[in-house]
Amino acid sequence: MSDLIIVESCDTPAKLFRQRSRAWSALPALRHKRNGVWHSMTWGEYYAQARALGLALADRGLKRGDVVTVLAENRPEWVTFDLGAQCMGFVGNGIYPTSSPEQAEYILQDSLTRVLLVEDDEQLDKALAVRGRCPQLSLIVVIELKGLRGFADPNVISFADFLARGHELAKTRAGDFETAIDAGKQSDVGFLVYTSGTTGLPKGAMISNRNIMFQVEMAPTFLGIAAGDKTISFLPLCHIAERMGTAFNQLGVGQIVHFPENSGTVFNDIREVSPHLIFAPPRFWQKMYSQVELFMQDAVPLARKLYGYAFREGRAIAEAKVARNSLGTLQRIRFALLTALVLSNVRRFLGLQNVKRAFAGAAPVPPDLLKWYMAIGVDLLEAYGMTETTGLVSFTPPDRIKLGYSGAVVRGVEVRIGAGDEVQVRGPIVFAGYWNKPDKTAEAITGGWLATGDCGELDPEGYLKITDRVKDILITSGGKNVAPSGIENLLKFSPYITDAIVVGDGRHFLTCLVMIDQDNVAKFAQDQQVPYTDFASLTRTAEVASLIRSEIEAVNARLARVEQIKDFRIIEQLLTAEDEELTPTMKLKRRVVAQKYGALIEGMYTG
Amino acid sequence: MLLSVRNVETWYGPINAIKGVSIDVAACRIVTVLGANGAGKTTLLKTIAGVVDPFKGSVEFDGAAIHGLDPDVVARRGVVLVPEGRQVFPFLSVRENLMMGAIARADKSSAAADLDRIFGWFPRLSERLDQQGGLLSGGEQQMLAIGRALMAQPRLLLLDEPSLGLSPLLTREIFRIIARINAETGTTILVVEQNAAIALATAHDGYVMELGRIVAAGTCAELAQKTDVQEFYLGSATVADDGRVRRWKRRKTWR
Repeated sequence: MSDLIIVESCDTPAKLFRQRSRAWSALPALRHKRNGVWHSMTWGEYYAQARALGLALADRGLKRGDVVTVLAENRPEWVTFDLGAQCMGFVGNGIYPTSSPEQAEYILQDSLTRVLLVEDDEQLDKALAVRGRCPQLSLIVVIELKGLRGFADPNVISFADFLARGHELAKTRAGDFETAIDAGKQSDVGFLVYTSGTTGLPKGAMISNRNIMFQVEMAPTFLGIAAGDKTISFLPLCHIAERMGTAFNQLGVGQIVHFPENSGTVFNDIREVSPHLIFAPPRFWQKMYSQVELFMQDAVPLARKLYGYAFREGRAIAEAKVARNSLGTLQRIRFALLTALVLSNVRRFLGLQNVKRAFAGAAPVPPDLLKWYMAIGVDLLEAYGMTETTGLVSFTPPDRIKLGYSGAVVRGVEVRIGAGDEVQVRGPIVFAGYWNKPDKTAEAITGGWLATGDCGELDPEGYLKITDRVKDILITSGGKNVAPSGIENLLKFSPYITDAIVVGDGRHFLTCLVMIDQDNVAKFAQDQQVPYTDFASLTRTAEVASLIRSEIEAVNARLARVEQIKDFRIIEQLLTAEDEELTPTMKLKRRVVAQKYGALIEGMYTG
Repeated sequence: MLLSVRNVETWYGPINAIKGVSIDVAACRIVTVLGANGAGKTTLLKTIAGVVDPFKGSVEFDGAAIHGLDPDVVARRGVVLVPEGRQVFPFLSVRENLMMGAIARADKSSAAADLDRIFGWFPRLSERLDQQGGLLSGGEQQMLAIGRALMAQPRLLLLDEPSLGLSPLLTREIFRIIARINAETGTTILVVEQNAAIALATAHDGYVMELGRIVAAGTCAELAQKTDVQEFYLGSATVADDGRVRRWKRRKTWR
């Protein structure tokens, strides 16, 4: 561990941040859309704001190693506060804005948070409701004051006032900030990421400066973009992928990070920004794809024909690319023509015309989805990683695409397959342990090897294939092992199925629970003139049931007999990120769903 | 079902005002459709009344399709619309306004008896028989508009926001009379409203519409129990532990 990871002669993110801010002082770093207008913040301003916030925090008596937490949607204040704190040697942390007050309370208590930054009155109410049980919490800073006129509390301060106080301090004590940055060590903890906790209570994974620096060093190769290129920050910043992507990879590359107006405007904002890089979970790519497919259903016949033709041609090119075959001249010319006529328009429609790299990660990716994007000329690459590996472990090299694999393991990281086919990881990306939970840390890391909890295989070329979570593998009563996520993945490729949970552990056949896509199924119902009123009544119509059945049967045709889905039920409630059934990234939680809809599941096995 | 609306989709040029709505209105019931501005409520009534034609879907009244028919044909079949903002004839007297409602009815001889009945519900109209419609107060105009519609002997009365611009007191009076008309004559009523409290208290069944879609359906008693209806339509404030009123709105889920 003595060999330091040095990027641009810096050994901590804070030092690199300072250096970048000086070198790129007048260049834009962050952009935020507010009331329909994009506002830019230069690197110089970014650093000045982070410094003011860091000093204002120190002014409140915080010591190195104390934790500050952010409870907000992605926005510049999130990262200026977080980086400012880390420069001072405080530990950053985040809470999902969709968290309930109880979840927020648990994280505030467990992390011993001293200062909390909240977005608005909604998030403030959560904090106020639980602060009586969080004795360490001494200050709450509020960004948006809308609806808070007349509200006064000695331990609540507005972001504007807090920042002004910091700028005041910076006039005389800017040196303190520089000293604090210089005092930072590579072994220090940079920030915490609370794992979503599908089993048991959430744990705070400690990400060290060393972890961060390794990923920062790798960022230029991984991301394939250059300084001044544009990206968009729309996954939750509490998630390791976006945290690294927005705040730290930027230190390695220098791209301009764009924050959308709100979570509902993401697709429009992407069209406007037309980013050079997108990292998103499969669900996002799925939604984009089904937008195009449904749009084409309503297009004039000529456009539909042309699209179908161009798409088939694009797909043939994609297959050739995967097989690493060279293309004929004629094929090349035809494809160039179709790209100009059709496929470039599809890319522009989606805001993908500038994309240099596109990644799907944070969940298994349906292979058909990758092929679809390749066909329209966007090489969607798989990436694999987790909180405990500071994000990235492996990604698909753009010149050596191998479908069905989560890419090649990055240089400097070791991967081996342990007992029960478990993927184990060793190297500078392995996190520094769970916050105040040495026993849990010991369970996760043995002799430097991190047990990922994922089942997988490693091929001779160094490509990693992830089959499922170890604990999710089903064993049917016939004794067959089945990886449910592979089947779920095929199901999720249907534009009508948002997510599915396959069950069948200890049963003699498999069944599944389906969460339908509201927009697309409603459109189907309208096109087929199927009457319904609310969401529940939509899920109960015979036509929707047979639609889903036919989608499942199409998938069954591609599966071995033991893997085929014999029956299904549709979840009748429209779930939102606030519901316990979904993770903040909108994935169904297997255990919660299995428990909550137990009766529904039993119904498929009796009668 | 007296009225069955099936998958109706209505456009105003490029604007998709209704994106597939299906509702049922049973005979002799009062049914309400709640929704905020721009939800598509008025468009729905206009589509039923034949003022605009649906792009897709069907409207069946008493077992026969009525979509695509001219509004006067729909009215002659017994579906009569009281439009938003009353639309009384301003320069005609109250009596003339009422008789305009009877213009399409087959059986003119009983018109006098119907007039008496209407005066029974709206005594104020009988006091102002010779006054010009445009000189009535808002509440009286609303009464006149309903009275005019009743003169057409409707089997289904469509009311578009009868409470619009009326005082709370007058709103209550109008809805009391609506309930009486339904109880005494068995006239089926479909009423579109923004004032959810009074509509839910008066009607039997209800629908909630948002952005051109139905998001909730049920009896009015069921709807009034839904937290989203209480919070967003009945305006019940949530009070935090420390006694402060919650100022933000949570996301709707329609459970």
